[in-house]
Amino acid sequence: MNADKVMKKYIPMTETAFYILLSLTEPRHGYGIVKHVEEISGTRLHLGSGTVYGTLTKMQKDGVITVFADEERKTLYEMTDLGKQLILAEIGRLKELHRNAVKYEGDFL
Amino acid sequence: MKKIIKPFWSYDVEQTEDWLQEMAEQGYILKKLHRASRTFYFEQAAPQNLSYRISFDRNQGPVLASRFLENGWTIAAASGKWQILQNSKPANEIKAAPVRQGVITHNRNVSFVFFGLLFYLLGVLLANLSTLVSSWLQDGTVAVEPSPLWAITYLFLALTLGAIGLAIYSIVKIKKSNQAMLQKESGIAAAKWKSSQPTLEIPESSGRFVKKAKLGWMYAPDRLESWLEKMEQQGYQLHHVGTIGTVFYFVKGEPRRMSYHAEYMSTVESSYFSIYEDAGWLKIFESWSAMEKWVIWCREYKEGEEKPRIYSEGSSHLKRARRMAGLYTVLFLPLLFIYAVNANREFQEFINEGAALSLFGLLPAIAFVLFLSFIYRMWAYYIRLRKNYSVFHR
Repeated sequence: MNADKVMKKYIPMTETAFYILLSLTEPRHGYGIVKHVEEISGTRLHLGSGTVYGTLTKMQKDGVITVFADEERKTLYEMTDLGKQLILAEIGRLKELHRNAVKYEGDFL
Repeated sequence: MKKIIKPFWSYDVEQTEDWLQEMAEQGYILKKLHRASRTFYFEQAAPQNLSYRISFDRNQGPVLASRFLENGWTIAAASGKWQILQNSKPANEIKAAPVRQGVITHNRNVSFVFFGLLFYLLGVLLANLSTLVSSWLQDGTVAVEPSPLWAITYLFLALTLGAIGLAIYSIVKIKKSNQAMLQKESGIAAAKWKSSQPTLEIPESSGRFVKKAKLGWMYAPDRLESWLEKMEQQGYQLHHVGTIGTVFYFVKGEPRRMSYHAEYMSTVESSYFSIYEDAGWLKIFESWSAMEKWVIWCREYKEGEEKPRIYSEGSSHLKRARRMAGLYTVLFLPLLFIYAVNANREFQEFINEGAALSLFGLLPAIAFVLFLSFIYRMWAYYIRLRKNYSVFHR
């Protein structure tokens, strides 16, 4: 899938997809992703195994992430260059949201 | 250059990898693979300790991913989507290798093609045999016309039998090696949860089991889940499920709070099992067939705890359910059509010619209604699920 199509398909991102990608600062196992997301979201998010597996499979098909086997033959998920491009684009969008949220927040108080 | 032909090298890649390693130990280093002729080309050199890894990847380019290069892998031979990588590092220093998934999926697809071929050939063979048998039954003899063309007939028969043999060999061989690869990859996780399970070895004939039959639960998995959960609440602990998934064996014990989840998977990967198992889900049933892969998961939870769920995002659950219903619908539509045509013919004969309506004549109509009900139940399940999620979010 080319970059434009991937951007269109994934942005704006669901919370699940965003946090899964955000957790791939280093290669992780499937359950390692779940634990890490739980940690950085302050235990707010408990991703279900089926949801994580389904999302990872889809992302792998679209070339956003890739896999390899570690010395114990377990599958590790890793970001691709396309994936990095994608998460940066989404972070840019979220920054805009955040900027505007802070800017206009006062008007509603 | 040494040439060796291995016709079925791709059915069991682990075996082929071991063989390549042995060749390298004897001083034959793989240089090229010619896929169409199944030929491996070797160059003679000093004996070496090399490990090999065969991978199949739809989206792989001619360049190895940097992670594999860093770990010492180089491409020994490549052909189509197949790559044979070699590594001179000792095994314990290799921290990353390609996954087996591509090979497993590809070989499974190959075996599906052979399944199709097998059904077709057996059908042709049976049709011919039944003509022969019925003409023999009618007049007690089979007239054989002498003809020089008989040689062609025998040749075709030999070819057909040969193809049937090849199909059976391929299916069995692929099934075995795929299972071994899957098991190895999820082996660590499996060992972990096996030790956490109570070792309750009870022979099926001991009479300690409460047996319940449940047919066709695949068409409404949510109903199965709530039935199992209710049984657990009454102290009927599910011990195991029969091989084909129709008989459920319970043991009477303490009531448990259990969350059950039954799902259909079109492809099975070792990573699928390890993600679920690492999260604490226990696989209590996995169907044998690779084409209709059903898995039942369960997990106990304590009082006051939220019931564990496999899907935290409704859309991913709905997507899976929709795919399952769609797939079964596509599979059943041709059957529905055939039964409808047959039922209509029986019906016309009954109306126009006053033929007696026998149970046998009613069979196509019964089959039609049955398969229609399967399709209906699956979509009803999907709609129930969708309603559930929309209520949940409101």
